[in-house]
Amino acid sequence: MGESVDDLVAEIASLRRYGRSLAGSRAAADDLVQDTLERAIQKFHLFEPGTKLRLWLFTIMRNIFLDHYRRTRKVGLVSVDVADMPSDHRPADQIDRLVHRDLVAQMARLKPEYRELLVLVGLEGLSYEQAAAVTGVPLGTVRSRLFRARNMLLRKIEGQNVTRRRSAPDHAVLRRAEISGAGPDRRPLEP
Amino acid sequence: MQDLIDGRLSRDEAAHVERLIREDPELAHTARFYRWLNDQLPKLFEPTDEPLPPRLQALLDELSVPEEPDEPAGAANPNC
Repeated sequence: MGESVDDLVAEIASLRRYGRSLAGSRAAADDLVQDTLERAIQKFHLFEPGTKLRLWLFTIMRNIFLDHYRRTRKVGLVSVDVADMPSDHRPADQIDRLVHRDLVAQMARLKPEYRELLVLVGLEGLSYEQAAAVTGVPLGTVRSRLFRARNMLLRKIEGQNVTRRRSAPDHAVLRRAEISGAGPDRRPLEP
Repeated sequence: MQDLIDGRLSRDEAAHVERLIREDPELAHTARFYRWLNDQLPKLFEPTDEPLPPRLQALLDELSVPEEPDEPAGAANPNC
């Protein structure tokens, strides 16, 4: 076979990221990575040379997640917290931390099927076609889920921005305005 | 616009959408957010440099056991 153990190992970082987008917590994601690698090793004879190993592994991971984690209701929301982040990624000042906390909180509330596409496309750089293959949904669904996920986050984060602005007008109101060019959100918040 | 952010447009198409974005503050606002969100994703999902859990590390260690070295060439073909 063309692919080796080193090739599998090289995909672990991506698998951990994708696992977190599906399962939520780091611990659950690592369990998912473990199960994925074990199944991949068992099924390596089914891997078709010329196929992207990463996509194959993502597909296995997703199937395991659906088969096992969802059935046993182990699906968790992302429980990542700023304090849990590596120091080099931790936002430097308080305002940035607030913005970041908002995003973490809202990301946690996204449906996993939305969150996973943000990770597959926005972070892992998969094309829509590749993301469709991994998730087993039509191309149009990939597109619409991405659109919904991004716009939900936009509305929610800006909604919190507006709330904070009302209660703490001097609170630099979030240089988030700089981030998003935000004025008051004119769109209704979701219930 | 989403296709622009995700790099799915040709150069001409991208230039066209960029022009639309410049002319429409609402679109520009949304585009900034989409780009900002993509920039944030690595910070949210980066696996960090945390060590792997012991069970997973053990699996990898097991996989990484080097194969038996080949016999020296001379041993395989003493006449060389």
